[in-house]
Amino acid sequence: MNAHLHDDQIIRSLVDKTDLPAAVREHLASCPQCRAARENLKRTAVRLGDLARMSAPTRQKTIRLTGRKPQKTAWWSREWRTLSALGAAAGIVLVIGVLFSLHTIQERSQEKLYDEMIKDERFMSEINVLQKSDLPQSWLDISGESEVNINEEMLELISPSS
Amino acid sequence: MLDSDQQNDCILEAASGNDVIMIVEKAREGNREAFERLVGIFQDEVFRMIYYRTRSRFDAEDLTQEVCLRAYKNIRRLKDGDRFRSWLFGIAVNCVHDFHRKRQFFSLFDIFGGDNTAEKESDGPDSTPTVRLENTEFWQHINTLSSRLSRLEREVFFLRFMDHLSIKEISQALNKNESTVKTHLYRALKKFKEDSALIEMIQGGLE
Repeated sequence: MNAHLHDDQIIRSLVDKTDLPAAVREHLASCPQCRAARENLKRTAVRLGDLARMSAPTRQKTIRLTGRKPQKTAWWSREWRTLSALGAAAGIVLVIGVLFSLHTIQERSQEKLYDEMIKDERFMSEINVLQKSDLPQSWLDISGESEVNINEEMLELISPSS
Repeated sequence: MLDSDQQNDCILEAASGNDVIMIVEKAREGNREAFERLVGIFQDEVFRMIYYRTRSRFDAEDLTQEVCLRAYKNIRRLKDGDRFRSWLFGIAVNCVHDFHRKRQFFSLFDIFGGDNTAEKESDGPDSTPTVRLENTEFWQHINTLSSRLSRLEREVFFLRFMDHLSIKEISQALNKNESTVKTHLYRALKKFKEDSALIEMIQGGLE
């Protein structure tokens, strides 16, 4: 490889040289120009760290380790996050279950209401039929009432208007 | 001047050597003195790490105390002694995150207000006005760079170049895999390289 490394490869070499292809690594090892470009970027990054360090104040407060020695804690104390997550999940499942059962009960009572309404309607239509003719059709046939055709001429004959 | 690899080596020598692993083991068994030795080794590093993210000495001191206490209470949970440094930085990252979250929440009620006098004074009485001005300029540049980075890019970049953690330590501290850390570090470095004002300021100091 004769071409010089481009900017991306220089940056990649600074992140981790071993990630570069072998040919690029070989070129970097043999090319003073590319090595200088890499060193320049590296020096700038290191200098950044130095400047940050120089601009940081010195710590004045002493660290105090208050409290007791770290001791073996009970499993439920160590796993409180897991336990609380499980508890929350169980709570959510419970709430969903209650809501679902309430919904089911409501649906069933509505269905029952509709059934009753249909039955009532049928019963009322039966009553209406009975009101119109309280005797069954066979009885009317025997009595001859079904044959009777009362019209205006018949009424005039039974009860003359003048 | 030490380059980043050399600085890392120095820190690793102090923080991840066999001695430190032995001290961590003793601390895990409940030895308070051993833990106090660990605090002695790492407290300044943790303090600076927190200061870079809060810019207040008082807050950094309080949070360093909080980090040490959390570490002390939970040291038994640490599996490998050689992961102590990254574990401690992981706790510090979480503490800082909690701190900013609380601050953001309380700012809704204007509890902190807009007065940063205490923070400005927290740089210490020993710093001269020139130094203070330089510091202010430096942190303004860092703020500008930070605003262009995502949260993870910023965290990875700070941990690598300001706190001098290795890629492996960063991946342990942030609980991310190494390739994710490298990807974010690459993106952050690219944005850093494009920040000509910051690069100029740093290189001006190098000449």
